[in-house]
Amino acid sequence: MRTAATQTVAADVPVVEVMVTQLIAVTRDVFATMLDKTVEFGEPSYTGPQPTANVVATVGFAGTLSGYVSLCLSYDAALEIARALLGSEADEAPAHVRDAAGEMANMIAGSVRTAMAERGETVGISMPIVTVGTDFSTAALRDVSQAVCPFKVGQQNMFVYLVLQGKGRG
Amino acid sequence: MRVLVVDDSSTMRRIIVNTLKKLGHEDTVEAGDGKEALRALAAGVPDMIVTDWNMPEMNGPQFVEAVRSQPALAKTPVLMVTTQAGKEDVIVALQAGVNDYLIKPFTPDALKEKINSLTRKP
Repeated sequence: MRTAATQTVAADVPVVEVMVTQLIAVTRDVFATMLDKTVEFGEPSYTGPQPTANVVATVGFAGTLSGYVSLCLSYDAALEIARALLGSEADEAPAHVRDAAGEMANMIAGSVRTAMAERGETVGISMPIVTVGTDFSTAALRDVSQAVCPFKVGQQNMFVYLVLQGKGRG
Repeated sequence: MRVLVVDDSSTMRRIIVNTLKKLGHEDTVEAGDGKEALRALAAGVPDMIVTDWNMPEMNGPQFVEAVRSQPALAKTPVLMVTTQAGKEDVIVALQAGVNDYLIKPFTPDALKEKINSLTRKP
């Protein structure tokens, strides 16, 4: 089943760059479809660490490719996402900040999995894990490929952070 | 009409319940996973079930198989709403007994169309 967000990428491109291309496409699609919001992406960088954020929603994946995808948000950005998802129930938004961020990360990771499956990759994804706080960071300690994809929704700066085990092959 | 909404995401449950309310279906029951949903079913048979796939304790296809094993629920319409978008995933869901399938992310109109389609009287 082909998704609207799937992008065609040349076969000789490194897998981390292929995944970044797909991540950008599906993130645009998830925000447009679920929140009716336009996303403006900046240039991705192929280094870590994870960007500083108050709300980090992470979904792991394992199979022919292994690693994880994190949606990194300020608290205000996460609150805006919760409000947009809930629509008329926006008063409930503060109580849904963690869950809304996790669900957005789940949809982004799930859509990337579908896009990568069309390239012959078979991966399963984990349940989302959401970390909320201030002054914290995470680090991938083993040999990994990383990418930080900055984007803007309205006035809110957000990031998608990709960590891929090794050069992408498990 | 009573609808059982099963999803481990409280936000997704709220989105689905809000859509159901907009369509005039005010009577909803929520559950966070398949096991909790089976307990809810023991308290009363719904007219429709909307379920996620990836959930703790008991996933969507396992839950739907358990639903279909109960004669009283053999014909209850089941809509699966999930990020599992592969052809083989759809086959697994249909074999488990799902009537229709909606891939996340989805527009409100797409969800409304699926719900209307399943609740329309023949």
